[in-house]
Amino acid sequence: MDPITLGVVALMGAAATIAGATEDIETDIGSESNPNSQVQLAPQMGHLHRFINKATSGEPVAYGVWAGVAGSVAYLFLHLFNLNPVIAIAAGASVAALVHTIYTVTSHLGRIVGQSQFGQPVYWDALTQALGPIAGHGFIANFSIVAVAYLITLPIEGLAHPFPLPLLAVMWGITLGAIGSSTGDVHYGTESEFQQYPFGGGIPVANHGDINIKSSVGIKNSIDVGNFCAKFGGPLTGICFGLLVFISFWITVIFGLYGGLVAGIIIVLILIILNNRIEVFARKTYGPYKE
Amino acid sequence: MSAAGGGPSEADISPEVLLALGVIGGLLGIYLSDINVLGGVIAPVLGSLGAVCAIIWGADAIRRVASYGLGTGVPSIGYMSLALGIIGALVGVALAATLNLTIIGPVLGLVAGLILGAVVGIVAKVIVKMKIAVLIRCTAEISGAAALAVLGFSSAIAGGYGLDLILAKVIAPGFIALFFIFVTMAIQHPFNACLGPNENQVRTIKLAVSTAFSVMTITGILAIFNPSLVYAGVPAWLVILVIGAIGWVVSLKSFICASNEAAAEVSWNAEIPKVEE
Amino acid sequence: MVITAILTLIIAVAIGGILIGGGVHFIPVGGAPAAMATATGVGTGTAMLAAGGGLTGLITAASMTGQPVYIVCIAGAVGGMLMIALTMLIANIIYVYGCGIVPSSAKVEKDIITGLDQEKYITPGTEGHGVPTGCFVSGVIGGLFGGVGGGLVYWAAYNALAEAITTPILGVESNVVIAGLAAILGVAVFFINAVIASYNIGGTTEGVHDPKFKRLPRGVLASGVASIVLGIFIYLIVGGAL
Repeated sequence: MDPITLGVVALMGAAATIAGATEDIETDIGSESNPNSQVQLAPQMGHLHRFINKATSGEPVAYGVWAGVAGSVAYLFLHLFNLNPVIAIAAGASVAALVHTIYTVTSHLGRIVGQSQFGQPVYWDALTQALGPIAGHGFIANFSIVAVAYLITLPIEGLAHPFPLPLLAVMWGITLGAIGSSTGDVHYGTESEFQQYPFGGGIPVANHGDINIKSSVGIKNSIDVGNFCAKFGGPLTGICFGLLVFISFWITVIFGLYGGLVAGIIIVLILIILNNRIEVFARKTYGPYKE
Repeated sequence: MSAAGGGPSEADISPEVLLALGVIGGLLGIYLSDINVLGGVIAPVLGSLGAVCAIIWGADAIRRVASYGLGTGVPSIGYMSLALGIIGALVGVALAATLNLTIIGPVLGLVAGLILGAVVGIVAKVIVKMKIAVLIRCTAEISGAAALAVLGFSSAIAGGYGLDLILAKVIAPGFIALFFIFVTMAIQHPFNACLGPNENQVRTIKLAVSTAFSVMTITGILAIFNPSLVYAGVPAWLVILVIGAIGWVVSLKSFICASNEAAAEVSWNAEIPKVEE
Repeated sequence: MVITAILTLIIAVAIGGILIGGGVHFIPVGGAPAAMATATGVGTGTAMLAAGGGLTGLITAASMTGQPVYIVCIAGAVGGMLMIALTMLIANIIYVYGCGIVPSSAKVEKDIITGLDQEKYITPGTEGHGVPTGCFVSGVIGGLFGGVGGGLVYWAAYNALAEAITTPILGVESNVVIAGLAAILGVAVFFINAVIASYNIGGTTEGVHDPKFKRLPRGVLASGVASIVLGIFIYLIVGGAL
């Protein structure tokens, strides 16, 4: 066990946690991925809204692109100009933020206008006011993803990954997108969009599209969604990605090659048991569904 | 993601025109991207412009196949075809190197991409029993377009399409992964973003031009990696970057104008109109 | 290249592809409805979640570059299982604590592992919600197969290329080129098989107990045929790099 490697792995875990949390909040503000099906459906159900409709493909491809752009530009600055890694990665993430913002505008316009027969207006003010938070959260997420990728390639014992930085950035970006669309988005899709329905139940198909378009003050917009999801879904997404990055390298650093693989399998078994405990807790606490 | 469903979509520009644009424009651009032909500055620009043509072709092919509703969303066929296209492009340049005929690389890459796309299309149709008539043709077309687009941008960075150049300048630094995912985005984003009952081919193609130029702009930045491409003191990356950015801004502007015109209403006010129940 | 090396490459890609394509059938994904707790499983697309698990597996497998094949494959399996398991666990925490939902499935009366009743815990009008234990274990198995498959393809491509590329190319170290090329080939084979498999299950599944799981042989056949062709094309790349 090398204490320096362990420190770097811990730093990777921390960066990944920040990446996960900001990625989820960004995609909630932008309404990307699966819960966006409800924003898409709402005008047909008679609910004109002021949400962003960011159908920039699924989150995995989108974050693969943003992180890939950030990682490639950072790699360029690191290798050609020997720039300080922090500045190089920040420069990469800035370029990615620009691309991200423009794709946000085009996907929002594309989808809203693509179903103009339902009367949904294009609210330019709603779009422009959300661009800052989207670009900002995206910047932090991309910076952290590329930081994780950069730390893995550091030539120290136990790390020194053979893949080049842009490739790792794309791969971690896709993975984070998959995690973000699987975990944090549930909080947005099940709770934030359907706040007017009682807590404690799935959303029946009959209620799809009947999304909540009012906030505590005035008309609900995408920033309100971000405020809501930052309280639970976002941080948990961060914990998920942070744990993944940390555990996948921590095991081999602590237990060595063979021991690490055994430890990994044991951790998976523990996760299965943990999940079962949570399921049993829910059944006992909430009981069968009551009308 | 809600898939479009419905059936064949109306087209103002025929698929054959866009296919010709992609194949001829793409191949021409890549062939002229060899720095020995046209000097160090113009050549990489033409290579990336060829890739832009290929992306527009691919985006139209996605539009034709995804308007049937694949059950898995629009992006899935995009990254599958890009994966096929990348293998096809690499097979092309590698086979050309084996045969010591670098010149046939791009054509072989296109052919290999088309074959791989057709094979997977046939597998999807015959074994998986997908019921989409245009699946084989469109998967092949998207894979071919992907092969050309990846080759075009790669040759813009590498300064040619020889195997060694591509391996050393594009694959070893990992830029190939960015091209994989970014060209996926550029090809599938136009239709995925615009889909809906009021989707319109011209507006979708405008967005395709914009996404294609966005990849070109980023390629311009990455071409700094190859500082040998200089002509009369002007580095090639700057020319790619500037032309890419101009193309991006112009096409984006035209897409936004088209969207504002086709929108139900354009508003800058925080107010929701009353809906008749 | 000797004939055994060629066969090793093509067979490894084919087996890897089959494991990836087969593994996707095990992963419980409910697609868009699951994000609104209207369907059981993880709230995303099949190919998406499989890609996340597979790429994590590829990263952990590649950190074992140079080790024997079984180590590379087990490392891939650990990465894939960890990603899928953590994602499902955190998703369940959000379903239970964030939305007050009991994980349950409408496709079985009793959970296939715990034997717990499902029906009365389901919200009327939905097909179930959350990730019950049966789905969870099925997903972990899917991550296992996906990770092993991805690791196997990477290992095969890396070894074949290591034989072919021995000198630096235009001043770039050969092992850098080999790792980059093997990685992108591994990613490409992964995505192709994941999408073919998700076509086969039509986008959503709950894992082993889902009626769609019966389509597994068809999916394995499709992945196998496609991967053999891919293996031959990858051999052409390796042959060209000689």
